[in-house]
Amino acid sequence: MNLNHLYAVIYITFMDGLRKKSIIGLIIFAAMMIMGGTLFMDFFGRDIGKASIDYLFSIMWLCGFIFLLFHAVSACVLDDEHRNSLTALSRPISRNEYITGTFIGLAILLGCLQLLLGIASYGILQWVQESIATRYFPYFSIYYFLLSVIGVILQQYLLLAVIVFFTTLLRGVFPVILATISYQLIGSGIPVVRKSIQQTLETDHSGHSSQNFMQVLAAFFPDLNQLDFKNLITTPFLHIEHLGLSLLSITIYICIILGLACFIYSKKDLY
Amino acid sequence: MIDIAAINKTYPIQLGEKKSYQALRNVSFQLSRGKTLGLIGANGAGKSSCIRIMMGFIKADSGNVRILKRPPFQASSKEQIGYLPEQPCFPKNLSCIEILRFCGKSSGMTNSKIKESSEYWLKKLNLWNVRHRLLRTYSKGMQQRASFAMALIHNPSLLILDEPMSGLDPIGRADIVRIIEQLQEQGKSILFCSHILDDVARLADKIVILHQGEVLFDDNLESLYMTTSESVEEAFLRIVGAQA
Repeated sequence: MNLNHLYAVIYITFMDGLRKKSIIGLIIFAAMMIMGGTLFMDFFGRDIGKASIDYLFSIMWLCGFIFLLFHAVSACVLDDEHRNSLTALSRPISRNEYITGTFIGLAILLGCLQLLLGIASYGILQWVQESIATRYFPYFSIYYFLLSVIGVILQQYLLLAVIVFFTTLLRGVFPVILATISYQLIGSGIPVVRKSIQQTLETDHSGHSSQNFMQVLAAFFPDLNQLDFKNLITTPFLHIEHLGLSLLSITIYICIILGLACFIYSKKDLY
Repeated sequence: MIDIAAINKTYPIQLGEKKSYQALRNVSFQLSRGKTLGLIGANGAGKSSCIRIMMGFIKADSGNVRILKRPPFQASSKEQIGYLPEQPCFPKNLSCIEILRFCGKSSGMTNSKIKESSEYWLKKLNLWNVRHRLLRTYSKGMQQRASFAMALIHNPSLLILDEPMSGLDPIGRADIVRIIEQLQEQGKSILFCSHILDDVARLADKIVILHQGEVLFDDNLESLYMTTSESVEEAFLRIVGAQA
């Protein structure tokens, strides 16, 4: 893979996205949601630290998801439909370099958005902590806060890789959005179903086939909850089990999905 | 420079269609170094399919394609190709100078060379004063000229131009014709598609007429005419009409 080619694709993907009015609108929307949330902090009661963190991380997740569905999908699909991809592929850029560069360009843009929201959220949390009595918000760990932001970013990088994969398989924006939402719903539903099956197995030992099926599904839909660290920000004594393994497994999963996307795209006719 | 031998292409059935569509049937032609080939045909004749195959965007079902002695799917085979698409297609939120920097970087040019070549082509194509404006604010003619600059920035030896005069006003068209003539003098090999047959007659050394995916004529311009008074349009209609 030629780094000059990769840099060229990353540059145009990043700059094109950065200047889109919808992205600027999304940042304003996120800032308003974060600032607006502070008006309701008084209603949160005793567990204000946890409630604030839940609220702020939900905003970060929502903004990232909007970015993925309404910018990343259209950037990848419209690129093909509007034949922007042909501009890149008419240069000595391979299809693998194009797919990887597009993913990295969008990932940098998404990372910047989440970092911006992370900084704003950190400021709000500091302000909330200083505004109330210590017993209502006794502990706040910046390290776990950073880890939680990384967790959110990594979860959304996985979805971004899935979007890139679906755009190589499907045609049009709508099918890709539908497939991505389905993937997200199935992925977030599997841990709940798995827990339910485990509870059933404790009383009834005949459900092993369901458990095996869930394990197979888990290979295709990794448990994104393993990257949700936000509860640790206010509860310092919890241990993070298998942290490295979680980060590594999701990173490997992203690489596999991108590898598959590259393989399919290299075989595809670009009409 | 270009060697196409007996290629066939059938597009698979799409949703809502009843049968597949054969775009190219046993198409063969060659373009030698320093020559200009005009690829002409009615809409749906297969010109764009030919160009997509030459650029490696789609694969031929059968036959052999060699561009600069290499298969078109190799990314490195495009180092010496300048491609102008039928419709300008680039990310519209970039400025002209940024997209040229992208083109230069991806072709392995140094920053100083990119700067020098960008300035030369942007001035030649009357885009120098608007080089920092976003491409989405350009008129269609300006976008077409920007595409031309993108195709030429890395000084390619082979040019593949799909409707190079599309969207241009008479002045812009005359400028492009003049630039193509200069490129011919520099010894570039040029393949171009055009509906404007007068331009083809003026610029091409060799003509290939495609009709319903088949090559009906492949020879020098002089061989196209039946009489000395016949125009290229009359000759085209005669050949295509005889087939119909």
